[in-house]
Amino acid sequence: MKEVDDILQVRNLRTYFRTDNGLVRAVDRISLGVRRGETVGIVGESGCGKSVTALSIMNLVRPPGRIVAGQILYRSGDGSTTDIAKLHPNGRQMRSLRGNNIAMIFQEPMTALTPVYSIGDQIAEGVMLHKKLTRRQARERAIEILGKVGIPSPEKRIDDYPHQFSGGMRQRAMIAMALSCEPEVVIADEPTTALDVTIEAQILRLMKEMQSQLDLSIIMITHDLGVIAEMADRVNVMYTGKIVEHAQTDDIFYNPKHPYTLGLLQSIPTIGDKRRLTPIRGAVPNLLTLPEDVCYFAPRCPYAMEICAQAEPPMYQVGTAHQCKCWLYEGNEVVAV
Amino acid sequence: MTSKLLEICGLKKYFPIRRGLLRRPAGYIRAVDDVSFFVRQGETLGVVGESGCGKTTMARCVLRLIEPTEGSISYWNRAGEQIILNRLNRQELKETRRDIQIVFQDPFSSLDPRMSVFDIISEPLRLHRIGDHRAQAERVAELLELVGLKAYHMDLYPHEFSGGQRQRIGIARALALNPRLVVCDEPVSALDVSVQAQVINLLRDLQEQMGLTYMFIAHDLSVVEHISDRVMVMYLGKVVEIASSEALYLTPKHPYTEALLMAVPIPDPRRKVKRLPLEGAVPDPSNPPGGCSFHTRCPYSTKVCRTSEPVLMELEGEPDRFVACHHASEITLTGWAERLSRG
Amino acid sequence: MNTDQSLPTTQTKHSLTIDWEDVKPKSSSQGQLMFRRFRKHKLAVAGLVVLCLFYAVAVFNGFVATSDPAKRNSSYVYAPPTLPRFIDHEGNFHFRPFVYGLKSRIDPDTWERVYEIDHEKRHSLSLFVRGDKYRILGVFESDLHLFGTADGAPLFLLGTDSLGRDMYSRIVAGTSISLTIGLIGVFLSLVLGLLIGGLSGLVGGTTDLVIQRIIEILASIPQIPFWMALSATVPASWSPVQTYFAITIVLSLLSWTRVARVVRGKFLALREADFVMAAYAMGAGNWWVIIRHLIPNFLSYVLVTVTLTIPGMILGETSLSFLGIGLKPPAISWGILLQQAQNMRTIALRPWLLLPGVFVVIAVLAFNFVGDGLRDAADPYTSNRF
Repeated sequence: MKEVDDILQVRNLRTYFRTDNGLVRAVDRISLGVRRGETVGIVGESGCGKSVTALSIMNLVRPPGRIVAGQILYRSGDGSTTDIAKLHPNGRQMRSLRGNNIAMIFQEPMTALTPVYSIGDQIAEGVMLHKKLTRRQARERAIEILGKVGIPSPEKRIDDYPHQFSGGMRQRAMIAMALSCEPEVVIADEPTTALDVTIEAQILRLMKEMQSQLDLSIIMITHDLGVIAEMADRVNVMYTGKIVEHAQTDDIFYNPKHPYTLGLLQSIPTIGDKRRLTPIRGAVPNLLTLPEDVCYFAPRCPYAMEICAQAEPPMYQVGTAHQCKCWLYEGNEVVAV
Repeated sequence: MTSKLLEICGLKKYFPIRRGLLRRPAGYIRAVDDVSFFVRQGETLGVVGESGCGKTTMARCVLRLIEPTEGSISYWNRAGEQIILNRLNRQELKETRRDIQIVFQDPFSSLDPRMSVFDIISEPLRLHRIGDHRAQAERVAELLELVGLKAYHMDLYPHEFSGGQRQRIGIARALALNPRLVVCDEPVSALDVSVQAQVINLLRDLQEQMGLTYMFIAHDLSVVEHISDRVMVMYLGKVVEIASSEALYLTPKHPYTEALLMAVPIPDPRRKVKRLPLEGAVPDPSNPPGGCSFHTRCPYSTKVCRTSEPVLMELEGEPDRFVACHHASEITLTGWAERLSRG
Repeated sequence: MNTDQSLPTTQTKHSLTIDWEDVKPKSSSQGQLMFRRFRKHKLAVAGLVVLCLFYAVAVFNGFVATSDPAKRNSSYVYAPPTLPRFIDHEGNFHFRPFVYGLKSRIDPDTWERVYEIDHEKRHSLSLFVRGDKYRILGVFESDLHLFGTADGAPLFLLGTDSLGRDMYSRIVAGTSISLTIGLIGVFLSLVLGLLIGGLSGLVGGTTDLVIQRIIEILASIPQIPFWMALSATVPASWSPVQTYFAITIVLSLLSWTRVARVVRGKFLALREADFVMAAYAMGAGNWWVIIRHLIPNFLSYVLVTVTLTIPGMILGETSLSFLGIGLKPPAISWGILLQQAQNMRTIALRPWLLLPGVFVVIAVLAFNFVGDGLRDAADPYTSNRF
């Protein structure tokens, strides 16, 4: 996991929420790395902490949530390294990083775009802020980028407001906004979940094109294994705030090691296969009621052993660039983070 | 071939768009526009389509939760008599409703938050005055076990359950009156992947045990294909293709079906296919394009597609296969098998 | 994809079964949940305590007061407040609180009466003393007071007014009218709001359109002039009780619109909810749906609206009476008491006459806090997720 060429490295990150009902360990000691130009997938079900991971990397966690511990190391093009976790969320340095170096694409573009400004103004504003361009230059840049993300006649649509765009167009506009300042890392949080399947295909294709054109690193967060298979080079599988397996995408699908990963794969229906599905029993537990220092998947796990209810498994090295957090692999080398 | 249970003929539902002070209709959204199909006893008819294609409105018309603008909905009851659902009076409708039930998408809003699970599941029994309190409690316990919950859950409130468990409660309520047809409106879309499979399996088991007929609505093609015997594809308020699910994914006959099949992301990294996604978005349903409503996005469209509307017709030599495309017999479309082998 | 694979198994048996999911909390209804959430709202709980105290005072005002609120003491006109103390002017501590008597003289320059503390006269206070007669709820006669001077000397905790009446006793007496006018007025607006809002939401179409426009018009009428016009029509010959009810009706004529809007909005929103659809699908009629689903679900929201409407009513009564067009003396309400504080001279020389206003502020704030707490607690889907 410790690669020298990682552009972004998350180490032992913990983001906790102190709620009225107790402490929620939304992200609990996760580590992951992103290399230049690659797509890293984070896949998991609701409440697994994948969105909080994204917000943590953007340093956008709002109270009652807080990054409690860990490092988020960003290595910029000139070789300097910044620990995002140590920056003030609203500080000058963080604001300059956001957009300029790391940008985010949200699931619901309608909530991420301001309804009272035109699409063009919203893109131009960011460009002016970060790139120190004049209003006119920023507008030209906005038209250019809108054209790039496939919005027809961008010079006309630039003055439209978000509600005048269709869902797919809005998502394109949001991608344009994210890319307008030429970031190096883009975090996409369920970018296609709210879209229809034909539009989803368009957006995924667009993201791939943009990636190869701009040499982007993408963190793709989704619950959809299809999207992961299509997009990601490496995959992190998350469950209840922890990464339980990390491997090359091919290994995740053809050589899964964690019972949860296997369970997920067996849960999804495949076209042309009418055999009965093999679901994972039970449901994702409520993070509030979980005891500490156990394997959280144990109650649902068909392979659960005595030890699973007694201690939390460490991350084992189970193959080349393949790690798995499961007692089944006791005896393998433990990965130090 | 088994007999028909439900037949819909020329169903239309237009919603007026009201504007101005007096709210006069300034136009109509053609949510369901001349839809005809049938459902056979004991089968699962899947309905797929993107948002705004009218599948949910169609389902609600079938249940008479909204009044259709035009068309007839026939239902054959246990005695084999044909009943026109949209001509029933209130009392007759109440009786017939025992046979047709619905399972909703959102496991949160489909259960009244102020009612206990017992109240929720026994509501249909109380409505139809079936049994006394004790008999109802027994029935509720039985239903809970049937859907994989425990009898003691009946004293709890919906907020104490997970999404999947709530969906099971919703299914138990739908089954309380021993229905024959259950309309499932996106029943697994809001659930986590691992829980989705549990509910799909449960629905299949129940169908087997109780001889249920399903109309299964979803936007996820793989889920629909998995559970359905026949699949109906809708686009912009119209049916574009009906076929057995196998025929549909192996040899699609409508360009839109092909596009859907090509767009589904495959959970298999070794089958990354270079595909050409469909251009553009679904047109505005209040102002649909003339001719074939799909022609604006269709790669095969010709002049005739822009001018005349294709009719849903049974394909020659292929019984039970309905397509609404001028070029259905001329064009060869890519099916699922070819999509996979291309990779 | 290869989904038929299985994972390596170890020698240990994979037979562990834990069911954390099944360890269920004890069942709690929405009402109980709402109560629990309300309790977490500190200000709301404080507001509720204050309101409980105020309403207890409103009921037992004769007992809480130290004298008859109508009793005039011609020798103590505009007497300043005399607060109880424990330490006397020589610095000795007394276990029992006491007050000093007042000496009055006429200022030879201004001809104003000036009061000075009379250190000679020390009246200690005690609980449950006998004093002026009063009736509780107009029925039970008594002369027992919560506290007073042990020797029966006059006690002016918050000073006196122009006729030498005890302000403390008068504020306490005013509680019953000022706080109940809100309740009765709100009850009337609730009935009107439920009926009209329900009709609007249920029937829809033109009825809804007409009702909505009426509500908009009513809501845009400036309140004070409208109230003034209406109260002016209340005949001066009416008894205080009649006037009281007339004013209540006047106040609720405008405030029902708020309840009606909430009711209509909730009606429309809930009618589309899936659980209502499910009820229709199983054969329920309109009444079944309204009684079993709609009303229970919007009742909490109505409660919130009602709680937030009461302070407006209290302020309405205060404003009207202050302007002299609401209730009239000899009735006692906080608004009537405030009438005396209408000019700067009074306020500058006798600031204690403003004290009824402080009580108005406290009551209004308390209602608003409780309303906010209820609003946060009412939504069945907040805070218990996560």
